[in-house]
Parts: sequence; structure tokens; C-alpha cells
Amino acid sequence: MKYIYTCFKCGFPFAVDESECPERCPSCSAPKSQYLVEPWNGSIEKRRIHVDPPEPDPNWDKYDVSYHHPKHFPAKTRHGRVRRFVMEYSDPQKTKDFYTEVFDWDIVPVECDQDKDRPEMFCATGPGFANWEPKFPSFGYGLLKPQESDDTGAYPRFVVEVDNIDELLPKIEAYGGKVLKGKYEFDGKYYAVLEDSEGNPFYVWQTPEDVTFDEPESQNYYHWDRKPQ
Amino acid sequence: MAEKTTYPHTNRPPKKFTQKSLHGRTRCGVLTYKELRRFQNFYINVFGWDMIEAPEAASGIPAGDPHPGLIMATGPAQYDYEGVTPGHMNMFVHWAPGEIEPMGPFMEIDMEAPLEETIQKMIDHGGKLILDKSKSALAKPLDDSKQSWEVHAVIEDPAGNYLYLWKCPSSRTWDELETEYDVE
Repeated sequence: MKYIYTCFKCGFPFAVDESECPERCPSCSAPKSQYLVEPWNGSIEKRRIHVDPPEPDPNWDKYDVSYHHPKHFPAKTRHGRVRRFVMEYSDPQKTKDFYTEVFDWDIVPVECDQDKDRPEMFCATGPGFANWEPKFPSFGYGLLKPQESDDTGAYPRFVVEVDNIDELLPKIEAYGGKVLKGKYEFDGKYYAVLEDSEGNPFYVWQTPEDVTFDEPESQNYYHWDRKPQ
Repeated sequence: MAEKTTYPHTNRPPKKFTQKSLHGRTRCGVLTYKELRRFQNFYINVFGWDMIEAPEAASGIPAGDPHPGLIMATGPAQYDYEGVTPGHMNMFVHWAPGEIEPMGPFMEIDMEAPLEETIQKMIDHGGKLILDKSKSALAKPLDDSKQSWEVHAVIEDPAGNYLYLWKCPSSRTWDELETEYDVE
């Protein structure tokens, strides 16, 4: 028989047949004894049991990876957010067609590469604003770059936004990373190419000075008006 | 709201995504580590990322394993580590027994269509299904018989990038913040 299980530790609801009920919560790994159970009534939306999620603990040991409420990120900074993924291409049309036809992405050359044969291409993978920023939480936009465009040979795969590159660079080596390419300017914005302690290469991008922190992507709490646009 | 953005494009806004479907959305990044403590030390101190052990249902690794899978918030997140503000991606991390694997996007695929059908479409368009565990620790044969929160398939795109695909179980309520779409 099918039941709705709601985890008492994290509040996550899921509906499965009794015979397939997992030993641990699919969201937080709490044991089965933590589940609250009610019969399936046709829709998970109509469940009777709702559990409040846990409150964040500011004194949480940062290295402890057991389930806890995510930390509160400070306001007026986007330091550390993974803002874009980056992938390389060899044949622009073939790669563009693959993502457009199979995954329904919307792909355009970035503004400064409009007339190039092998442009850097910007990819919308879901709903966005007129300025090509994602409109809803928990998904990302990305870039397709020609293979030859990366002069470090490391193929950085994502872009992390940071407050200040000059202040960041000394910390990188102190914590076991590498600076593959120091601060440089491209199209009026500042970047650097870094590698983490494990060998993953990535870009950092400095928050531009014209950011007002009123943008949806600059918020540190949920404020999106969920009414249909 | 400021007009300027990261990569401004003045010609037109992105197309409308009007279907009740998350097919193709890059939900997070898939990253690998060799040494957990070293990896944590870097990202916690340099970027302030917040991490939890991924539940077995999502990583396939039992709780308490010395090489856990991790879910990492790189920005503000909800209690289930889904992002709470638009414009950033969280990370899904696993241990690489061999070489560090290139980071790739964790993408959602059609919830309704059979897995094999979706994958076949990718192969028809020049993608490759990766089954070799030495290429990606998450590679595995297609199995659409059980719903799960794990990666369902690893695909190589025509340019050689790896995509980690996930088919959401039917428990989705469409109340989740991330399930919004453009309404005409």
C-alpha cells in the first residue's frame, strides 16, 4: 500500500509504496524511525502532515557534513556563488544544435562576439529575465566557449563570483589552490583563473561596480513574487 | 533594477519556457574531490560554502562512508539545499577514486518520458552514453524500473563535455520554488 512519509528531522515529504520505503530519509539520511506516516490520498499536495524545517545554527561546525539547516549567507555580497557553468565546443553548430534540440536551451552569441564564426555562446536553460539572468531559484545559466579560447590549457568549468580578486588571490595558495591566470580584464569586467586544492579549474569573476544589490540574484533571502508574470 | 548584467545581450530576452517541465535545466554542478578535509578546507575558507553529506538515495553511498557524496550550498539555500534565490548553482560532489573528473552540469530530464527514449534522442543528436566507470564514477547502465534521486545516466555531448542526467521521481508537487515556469 502507498503512503506519504514526512521526515520529522528535515520536513521532506515523499510518497512510495510500503514495500519500497527507504531505510533512510532521501533528503537528510535520518533513519526510518523519524518518518511520520499517512495514507496516500491521491496527491502529495493534499497531505495532512507538515513539519517545520530546522532553524540554522550559527555555531555549527563548518566541517561537520551531517544534515543541518543551510547557513545564512550575508546580505549585499555575492561572494562565493557559482554563477555560470562553462563548457567547451569544437564544432559550434553541432554543439548548439545538440543543446537546442535535445534540451530546449536558448543559445545566443555573447554581445561582443556577435559577428564571429566561433563565438562564445550564452545558454539559457530555463526561464529568465530580459537581462538574461535566471528568473527562478535552483538552476543555472552557462557559457559555451570555443576550445581554443582558453589560454591556460586547464579548461575552467564554472564561474564563481567574488567580492574582490586582489584580496582573494593570496588566500588561494594559502588554502592549497593555485592561481592559473592572475587578474585580467575582459569586456570591462575582472576575472582570474584558479584551481582548487583537488585540481578542479574554474574562473572567478569580480562583482561589477554597477551592481546595486537590488537584483533578484543579489538577494540573500527569498523574495520572489510567485504570481504568474 | 540595474540594466547591465554579466553577459548583456541587447537584441532580445531569453525565450519563454512555458511548459510544466524542467527538462534541460542545469540544476547544479557535479564536482569531484580526492581528499575530503582538504577540499572542505579550500571551499569553506575561500568561498564560505556550506556542505552536507548527500543522502544515500541521492548519492548511492551509505551514511558514514569515509568518502561521502556532498551537497553544497554556494549561496542562500532552502532546508533541502535547493537554492532560494535565482542566479546561482549549488554543487553535487562525489569522491573520485581515480583522476579528478571535469566538472559538468547536473541536468534534469523529462519526468514523464521513458528514460531510454530520452537517452536515445541524445544519441541520435551526437551524444554518447558513458558506461565506463573509469571515465566517470557515476556512470552506470540505464535502469528506468526504480524512481530515485541518483544520477540516472552520464552522457558525453558532441564536444566531449559530460552531462549528469536525473529524472525526477513522481513525488514532485510543483509547489517547489524551482519548478516555476513562464506563464503566458
